[in-house]
Amino acid sequence: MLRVDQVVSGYGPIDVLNHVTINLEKGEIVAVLGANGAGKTTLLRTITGLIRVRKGSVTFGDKVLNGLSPAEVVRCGISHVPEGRHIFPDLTVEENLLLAAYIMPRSQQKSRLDAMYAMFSILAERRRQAGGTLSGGEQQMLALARGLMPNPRLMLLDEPSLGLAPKIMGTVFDTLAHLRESGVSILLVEQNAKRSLELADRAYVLVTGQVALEGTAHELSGNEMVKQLYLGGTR
Amino acid sequence: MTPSGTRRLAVNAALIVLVLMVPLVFHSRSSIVGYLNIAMLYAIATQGLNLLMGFGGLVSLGHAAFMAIGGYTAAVLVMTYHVNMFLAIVAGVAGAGLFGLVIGFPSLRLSGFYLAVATMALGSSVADVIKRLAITGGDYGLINIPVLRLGGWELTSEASKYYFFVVILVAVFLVVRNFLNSRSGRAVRAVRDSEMTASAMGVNVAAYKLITFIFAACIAGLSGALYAFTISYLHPMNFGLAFSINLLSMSIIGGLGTIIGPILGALFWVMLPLVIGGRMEFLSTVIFGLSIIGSVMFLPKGLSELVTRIQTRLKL
Amino acid sequence: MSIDIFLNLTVRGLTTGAIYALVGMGIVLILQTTNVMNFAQGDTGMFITYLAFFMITTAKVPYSLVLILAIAAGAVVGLLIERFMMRSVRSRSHLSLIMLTLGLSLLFQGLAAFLFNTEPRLFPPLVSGDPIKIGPVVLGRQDIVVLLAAIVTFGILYLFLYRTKQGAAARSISQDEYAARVLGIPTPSIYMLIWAIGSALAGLAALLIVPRFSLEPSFMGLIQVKAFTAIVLGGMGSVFGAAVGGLIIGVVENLVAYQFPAIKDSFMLIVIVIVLLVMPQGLFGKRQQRRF
Repeated sequence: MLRVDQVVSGYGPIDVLNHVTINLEKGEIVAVLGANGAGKTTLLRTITGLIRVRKGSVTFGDKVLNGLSPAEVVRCGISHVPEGRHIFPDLTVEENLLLAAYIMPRSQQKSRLDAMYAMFSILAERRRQAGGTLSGGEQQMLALARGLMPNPRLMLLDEPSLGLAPKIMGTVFDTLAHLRESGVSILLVEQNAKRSLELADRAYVLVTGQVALEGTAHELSGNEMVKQLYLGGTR
Repeated sequence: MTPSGTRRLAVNAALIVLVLMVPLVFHSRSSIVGYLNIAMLYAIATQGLNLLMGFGGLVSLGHAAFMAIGGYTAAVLVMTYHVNMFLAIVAGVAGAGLFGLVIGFPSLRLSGFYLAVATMALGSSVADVIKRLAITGGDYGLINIPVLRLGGWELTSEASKYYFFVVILVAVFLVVRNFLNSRSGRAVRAVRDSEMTASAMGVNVAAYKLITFIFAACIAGLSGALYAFTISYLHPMNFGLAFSINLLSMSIIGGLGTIIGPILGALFWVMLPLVIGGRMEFLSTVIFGLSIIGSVMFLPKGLSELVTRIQTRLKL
Repeated sequence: MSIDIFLNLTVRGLTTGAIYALVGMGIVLILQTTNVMNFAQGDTGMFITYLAFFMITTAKVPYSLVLILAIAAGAVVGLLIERFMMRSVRSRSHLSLIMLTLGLSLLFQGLAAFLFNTEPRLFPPLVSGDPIKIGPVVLGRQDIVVLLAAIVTFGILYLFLYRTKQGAAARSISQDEYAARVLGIPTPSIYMLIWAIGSALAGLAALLIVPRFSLEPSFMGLIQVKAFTAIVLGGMGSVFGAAVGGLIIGVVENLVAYQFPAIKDSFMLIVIVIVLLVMPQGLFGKRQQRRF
């Protein structure tokens, strides 16, 4: 469904991604592992249109995403949950959610909003509260809900468990598993390699902007290099 | 010596001769020399602003106030207290520097837009205070300020002022350049690029911000004092927000953060209205506006970038 | 000071403050969303007022139509500024952005002086007639119009920002521009919209203000300085702060001018520096806001 083909992109004079090729089929959860600076976030930003594709192509279904603005990419059915959550602190929970479905007609926004409140009851309780007053875990739920608001076929998740207490981290991963069942595909960037390999169907390992390894999650969990580099501790 | 080195030497020599020849060429039209003198005074003041903004990264929308303080202090000391002119100019410079310290304090806590508004407010209030004081001539302005005198030598002719200002201008520019290349100058630029990095490197950020403000103010004060004894007339209206913005415009058009930018900017500013002519004087304001917009959008180093491009084209 | 004089000064101060509020609200709207401090706000309005002047006096267009045309002209100017200037330099330093708007302001002043000369012109008020007496307070009719306009403008801006999705998008951009783009909010069109609204407000404000002064290229200069002080006092963060800040400055200034005429102009300027130093967040700003 998503094909990232020989993509080069980066910031200013620097190419961060060097001919990266990644595929994702409908209904899959694909994890992207790699050290800091390997280009994981850059990959997500490039798919979303926040960074220009310099070489290669990104296609989604039969649509070429090269050169589209983030707004147009969202319209194609891809949503991006950025690292660090980026909740609007002075906007209410409800405003945060509605803005994520900016392109939708009002009636549809309303039904998506109800669906989100049904899925995340804590957000329904806090709907009138400012985003900045939520706890870290609640903010992550809000970030996930924002990603789901436009009813995407594919979600790009950047470090959804970063900075969360273990218990809440568990909730997040449970939510992701639940999402797969509802038919949303997920491209997951996570520093918690162990848990993401448990969840994912397949995975890629990025090293300095290139795909160093790819395979099923099971294969990679057994791979010596992955074990050493990313599964060393409990993290 | 390389061929390009020789060529560069030749061009520089030609430039120097040209500069020295100007009063002789325009012997019969001394008003042109007079305008060049004004341009040089503006260039001096602008160099201070350039130091502050281009190299220090600090915004000032009140730079005209430094000129006003330098000018009024020197003029009042000479006229009311009959102080020696040289000492009066020194006092003017010091007075402006002191006010630079005052205006510099907000810069320790404020940056960007906030600093712009604070300097705008302080700068405008200086003109307003001068307008209310009796000793400064208030709203009538200060008239009949004596003409510049050095020892027994009175600089009455435009040509004599011209040569004197060329010397001062070169001196100021050399001092600024040496300052920028010194340890302190590097510290100032480090503060501009990143306060956090600079302070991590052990640079006393607050001290260097104040030093930059004081230094910039002193230079503008010198320009103001010389201006007073050249024009022989001061009025608070001429040193309000509008003139601060003019100085800012000169430094932008000339090229922020370049050493020759202030000269180019001031020359452009003073000479363009002359070239266009009195009947269409406001056309030059239009061109100034467009030049600023053009500089920011397409030529971040302003006119000095053009000069550099010509230099590379001619392989100098 | 008798109570009657005090009341009169206060109410007149409110009408002056309404002027600052009108200009300040436009500036703060643009500043918050697009992160540009628009020094051309006043002169955009000034230039549009010249166009309006000739529409009224030469072309004999009815006043109400001119008012609408002026708002529309402001919106168009705002769109052009954003599309052809700001868009390409958005990532530059604050200094460059300030310079750009200063250049625009010079451009408008030069154009006005070049095309229409600098002679002061009397601009007819929207409503004329004898001043109105309310108890001991005497108020000019145009002053009442300006005061009402400021209130209505504030109401409309408030509804726009808090009741429309474009308004919510504008607020979200001011809090976290990156997040807004990630969520797929079409930020370029929001920027255009905000510049259009802000500049339309500039046109409206100048047109309502000008009968109290006279029409000349520099007439918005001091008003804009006061508008800046108003938004600083209000905390630079909100349209509400700009409106209240404007009114406070108008009233205080008027009272000070009556008691101590000598320090009339400097007083507020000094106050503003103190405000900046002692409480940079102003009266209504938040401590934790975007660092400008």
